[in-house]
Amino acid sequence: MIWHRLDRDKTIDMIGRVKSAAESMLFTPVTSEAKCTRLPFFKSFLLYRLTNFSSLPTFSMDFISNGEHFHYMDGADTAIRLMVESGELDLNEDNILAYLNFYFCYVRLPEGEIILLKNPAEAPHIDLYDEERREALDIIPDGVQIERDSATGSFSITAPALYDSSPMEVLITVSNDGQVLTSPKRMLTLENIQ
Amino acid sequence: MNDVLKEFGSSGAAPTAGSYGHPLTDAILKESANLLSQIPEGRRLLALANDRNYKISVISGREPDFRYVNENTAYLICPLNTKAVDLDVMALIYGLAIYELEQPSIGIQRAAIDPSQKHILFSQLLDITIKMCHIIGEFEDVNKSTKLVDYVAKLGHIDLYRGYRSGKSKEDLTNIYSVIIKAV
Repeated sequence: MIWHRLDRDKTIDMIGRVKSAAESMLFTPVTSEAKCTRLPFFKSFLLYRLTNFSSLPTFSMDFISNGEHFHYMDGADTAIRLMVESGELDLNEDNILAYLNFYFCYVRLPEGEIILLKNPAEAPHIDLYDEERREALDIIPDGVQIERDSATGSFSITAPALYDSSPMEVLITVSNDGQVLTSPKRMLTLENIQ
Repeated sequence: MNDVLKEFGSSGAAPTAGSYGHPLTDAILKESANLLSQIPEGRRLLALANDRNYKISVISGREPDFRYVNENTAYLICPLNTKAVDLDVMALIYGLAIYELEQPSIGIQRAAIDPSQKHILFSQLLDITIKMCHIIGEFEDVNKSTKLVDYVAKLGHIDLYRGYRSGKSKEDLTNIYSVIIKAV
């Protein structure tokens, strides 16, 4: 992701908008930095990240925002649903993988963590601390198959993924309004990986 | 992946307006403490938090974690949908949040934002990662469950955990940790 750092005034404005009375110690203008990046599947809303450097390791919170309304990414798909309701989500063949990478990064699913893999051999090298890899939206899995149903606008994607820590080939269905269903198809064994 | 208790394992009430506080804060703290109290180190940490009046609450966030705020305050971070979270992981995180508050009183310094303090940060992170191995080891012994061992593997610290469990020296563990964090 290519991030753009907000200047001091915009950072202070953002803190003012997202600051919670109950958790006022989370961010202060002196020790915090804000940045934003474009998401190719939203028309105008951007992803914002507010980071507090007052203690190490640093602490960040992410929001989807148009600069005025900030929707916190709380591990559920609440903010994405708000984008759908406001007509912000625009899925097509060119941005569907970026959307899935984003979705799996930000929405915590009952089936466990899912990460699309460039290829199965990547599976052993990804761990929870590898944030840069986990947040990469431009990952295109080798051999990925994308089909769109012209009647419903939904997508079917077949791709390798780390599925609750196991390398699997998964079938992912994305409805036109961004709802994601993932079904494991087969385990990718060591033979597949090599 | 989730086998948490009924109250904790909710798909989530609506978040409190104007707050990042998790709507199931009380249930998360109570059930995590119940689980943590099953191991000796967990009981020690919970008693310490009680004695020192540490303030620990829960905010929602995209993955389970904890965050030091000041010398007596910390947040646990838990996804809004608790069905997607293992209670074992939240119990571990609860214990580590308490331990991070305890660290200064046992001589573990906190690093400032200053490149010259990298070694202090390294020591602090090594110390808390070894504490993670300590807690997971006790859970493995008491519950005969490998769930948290799988979690430590997912974090990339399985070699450190195995080294800790096999009784390796602090120097050996430091070397293992150095390799791990350079690799990440």
